[in-house]
Amino acid sequence: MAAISLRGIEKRYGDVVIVKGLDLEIKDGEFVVLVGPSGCGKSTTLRMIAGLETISAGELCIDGQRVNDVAPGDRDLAMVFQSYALYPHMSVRENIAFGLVVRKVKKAEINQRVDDAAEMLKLSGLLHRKPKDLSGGQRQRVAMARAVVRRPRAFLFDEPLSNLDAKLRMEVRAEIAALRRRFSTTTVYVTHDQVEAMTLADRVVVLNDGVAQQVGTPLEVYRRPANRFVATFLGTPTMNVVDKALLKVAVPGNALHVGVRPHDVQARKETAGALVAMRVEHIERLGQESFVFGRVGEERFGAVVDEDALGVLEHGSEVGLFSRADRLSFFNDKGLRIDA
Amino acid sequence: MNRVVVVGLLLCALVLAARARAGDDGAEDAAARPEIVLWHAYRADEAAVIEEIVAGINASETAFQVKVLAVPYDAYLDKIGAAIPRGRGPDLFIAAHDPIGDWAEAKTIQPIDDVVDAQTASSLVPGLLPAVVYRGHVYGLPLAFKSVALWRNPRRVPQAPATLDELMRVAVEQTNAAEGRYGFVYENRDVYYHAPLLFGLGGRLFDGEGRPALDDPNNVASIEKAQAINAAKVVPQEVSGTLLLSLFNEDKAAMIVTGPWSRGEIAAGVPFEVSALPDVVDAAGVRRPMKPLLTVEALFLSGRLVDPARRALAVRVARLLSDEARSVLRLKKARQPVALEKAWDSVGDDDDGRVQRGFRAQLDRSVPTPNSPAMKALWSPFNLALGESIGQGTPPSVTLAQAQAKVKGEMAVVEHSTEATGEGGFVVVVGALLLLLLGWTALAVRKFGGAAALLSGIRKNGIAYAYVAPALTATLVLVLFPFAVGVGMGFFRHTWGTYTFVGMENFVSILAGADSTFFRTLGVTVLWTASNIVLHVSIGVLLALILSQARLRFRGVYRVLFVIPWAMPSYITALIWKGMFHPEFGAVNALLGIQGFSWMNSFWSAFAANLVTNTWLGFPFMMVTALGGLTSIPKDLYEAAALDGAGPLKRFTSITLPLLRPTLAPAIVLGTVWTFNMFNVIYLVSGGAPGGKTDILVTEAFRWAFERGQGGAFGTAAAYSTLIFLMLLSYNVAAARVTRGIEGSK
Ligand SMILES: Nc1ncnc2c1ncn2[C@@H]1O[C@H](COP(=O)(O)OP(=O)(O)OP(=O)(O)O)[C@@H](O)[C@H]1O
Ligand SMILES: [Mg+2]
Repeated sequence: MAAISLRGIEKRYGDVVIVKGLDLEIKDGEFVVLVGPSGCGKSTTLRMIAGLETISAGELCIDGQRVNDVAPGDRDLAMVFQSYALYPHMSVRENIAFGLVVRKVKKAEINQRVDDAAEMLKLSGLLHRKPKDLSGGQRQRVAMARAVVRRPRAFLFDEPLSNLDAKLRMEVRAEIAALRRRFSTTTVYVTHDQVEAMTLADRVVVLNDGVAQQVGTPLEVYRRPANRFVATFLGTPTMNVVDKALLKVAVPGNALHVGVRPHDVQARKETAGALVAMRVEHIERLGQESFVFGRVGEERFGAVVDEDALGVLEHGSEVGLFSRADRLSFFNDKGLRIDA
Repeated sequence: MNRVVVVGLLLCALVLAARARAGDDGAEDAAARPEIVLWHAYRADEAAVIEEIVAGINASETAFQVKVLAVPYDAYLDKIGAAIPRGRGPDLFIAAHDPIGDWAEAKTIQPIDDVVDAQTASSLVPGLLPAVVYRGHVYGLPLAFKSVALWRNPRRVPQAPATLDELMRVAVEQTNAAEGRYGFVYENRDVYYHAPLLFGLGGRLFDGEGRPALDDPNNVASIEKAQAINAAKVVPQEVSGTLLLSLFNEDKAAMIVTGPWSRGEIAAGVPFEVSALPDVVDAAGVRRPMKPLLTVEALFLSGRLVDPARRALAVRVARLLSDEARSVLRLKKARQPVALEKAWDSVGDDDDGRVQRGFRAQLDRSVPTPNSPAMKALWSPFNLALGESIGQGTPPSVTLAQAQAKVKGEMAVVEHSTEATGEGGFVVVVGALLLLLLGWTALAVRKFGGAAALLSGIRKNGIAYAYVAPALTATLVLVLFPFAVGVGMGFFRHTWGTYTFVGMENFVSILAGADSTFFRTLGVTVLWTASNIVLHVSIGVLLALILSQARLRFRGVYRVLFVIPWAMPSYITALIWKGMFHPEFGAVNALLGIQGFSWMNSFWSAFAANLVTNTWLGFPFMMVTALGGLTSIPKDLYEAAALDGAGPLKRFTSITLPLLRPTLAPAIVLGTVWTFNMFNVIYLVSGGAPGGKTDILVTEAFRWAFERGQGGAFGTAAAYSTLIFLMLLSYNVAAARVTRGIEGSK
């Protein structure tokens, strides 16, 4: 178990800077999720931590020791790849044991540890199989077993669930959460799936264009996005952000835009006292809840609607939008958050 | 579909036309003038003169036409032997006299005592006639004679030496190793060029009863003399015809031994004189002339030429070709030392004339090459003995005794007499084999569901079958049929065109024969194959690993460069390497900084030379295959292994190698088969040296077929090939099992 700190980490390919001075202190036992759009440098960052990419500038320390030039095998980290990267010519048992065999662990102990890991990940019956005879979820679990069995100082996951279908994803997500509770090993987890980020993380790092936009607990990041990018990147449906002049609301200081999540806006029949009135263009009924969408000014705007209470809405109906004041976020001309 | 039909019809038409042509070859066309077909293997000036002479004959003669065909020299004897017995050959052909025995036995040629009558005989230069006589009959009409003689650069050696001692004195004076100059250059490992010493010292090839006599004490003495010449270093090591001429042309060889055929290759402006080889004095003080082997070029009448009228025409052509005017023409224009005595009156005192007279003088001091069939069996063992004595200094008494035993052994195998069953038996066996194949096909058809199912299958997929048909036909004709013939031949003994059924005897004498040549050769073959494959694979994989590095610049360039050895025809590469392994002029010794080390003198160094050459030829294939295999290994496996703590070596052994195996295994199987049968390298680089020790099974089979007399021990050679086939077949089956195992585990 280890604390990992990234100080001014940079990655350059020639003239192109991919990761731009990343600072991050990961505490011992913490589960940190890196999220961000495709190509923002998440994998690159993770691979620098793993030692698979060189670090162009800055300092990477594990437990206070600078490891920039330490070989991947000597960092004592385990990584789970998006492609699983299982050794195709080895059985499941050999795959899981490989890291221990290389480290010359005693045979009896290897067997014991492999059996434990297999049991934990429900692989006991599959140990003699070759990877090609496994389903996607099983392969994923083998990859995790291979990481777990080593008892590394930290786990690194690079989008481990992206090749699985929605149902499996939920299952394996739960498994990861369980693992994490059991070992409380430091974990860095890369994803662009915000549900994974929200459900698994102690802290979320939102990356864009190689720059950390915000670091915080899932709720902080969700409730108090540090800027317009974070606000709109996290949460579905996307947060509404409109010019302050369009809403009947008092704004602090030099705020220019107001943001509010559709979940925090109620659509009602009456318009009196509403933030703003809107003509319904589109209704999304998800079963549990329903959303109405229309336009405020030029911007698309969403709100929750309780159709049971309200009666069925139609396209073109006029609705009033209401929200609690503490659910509003304000952004200045640079898109940065302004607190009231 | 239409096109297929058209192509099919065209093919049929072609075959029919060919048959028709073959049919009227022999028949005489009454309307047109009869055509007398003349074959020769001359090149350059000699060929031009023959063409000119024939053109003249055709212009003046009205009763017939002469049609000349120039056949490439290398294929000449084979063509004659194959074509005449089948009625496709010439009526008349020009050839050297030494295969007369073989041809007479096989009735490829016929006696022409009536043509070479007393008058004709007396018109010839004395000494030629014995060469063309076999078992009391004259078989050829001599046209010209050829033998080696002493050529010298008159600036270095003004006077032709009268004795070998005198020659050696001059030669030593003229030798300067530092400048690469040599005094007396001849191909001292070749019996043909050694013959002058042999006969000069009273040696002989056959005893009084015509049995081989290689171990004659005088023969031993002659090789000892050759060893002494070699020890004096007046002659470079491993002389070849090309080397000899280039040394002479560069004024680096004061005296050489060669024949009139080298005239055209002497560079302009290089002065030379030709004279008879000197005398040699033996240990007892007897002085004799050094006598080279004499070759008489003669006209032969096809053994199939029986029609008296047609034979008379052929004889007339023969007389015209050898008459005085045309002999003079050949003497002057083609610079042939001609057989007709009168033609020599025209020889002047110019340069050409002096050279001609040099060869003429040598004729009086020469020995006609024995024309008995046994002669062919002598060459190769004698050459091996000579090579070993000159190359490794083994006492000639030892090497010649071995050679004598070898000749006797081989002649015993070949000469075994059994009652002839003729070609009929051969057809029967081949037919049986084909029937076997057919039966096997029938079984396959039954498995398919019977003929009806097959037919309906063919009808349903007509177009597909039509597309496959040409390939299928080609496979049948070009692969299966020759294969059956080859296997069948293994049950026969072949002597001069007749096949005798001998059952398993060939196989028995190979596998259980007194000498264990087969098993020794098999051992060498296995060693050869294994060491090659190990080198090819390790070098190929190593280079592939380097070339697959993403960081490497100019990868494409290297890739092309490394594939070049593969793209070159292997025999060219083999010849280049042979040159590079030359002890004195080769690049290998120059690079290694060693002087005069002869690679072909010991088994291991000759084997190494072969191995290096074949590795050069073989690694690109493995490299390309490995490159393909490497690119298909996902990069993240290496990353996962790196995180698992595996260093570069462990990553190579646990990831790269096992994942390369499925790609490499079939390549290794293929490479093994190729190497096992790699004829070119063995035959051209070491040529089996020293003493046949580096021969592998295929070269051994080849030697049985083409280098051991009696018109080719095709039966033994075919049995060898069948054994090779069986071994490779079982290897393949075993390898396929293993490979499937590997792929199954993937
Ligand atoms: N070897 C390289 N040379 C140049 N650019 C590279 C190289 N490897 C990656 N990049 C670039 O670096 C950027 C970040 O890549 P990275 O793989 O870290 O993105 P990511 O955040 O993991 O995206 P995704 O969600 O699609 O996996 C991308 O724009 C990519 O094109
Ligand atoms: Mg990525």
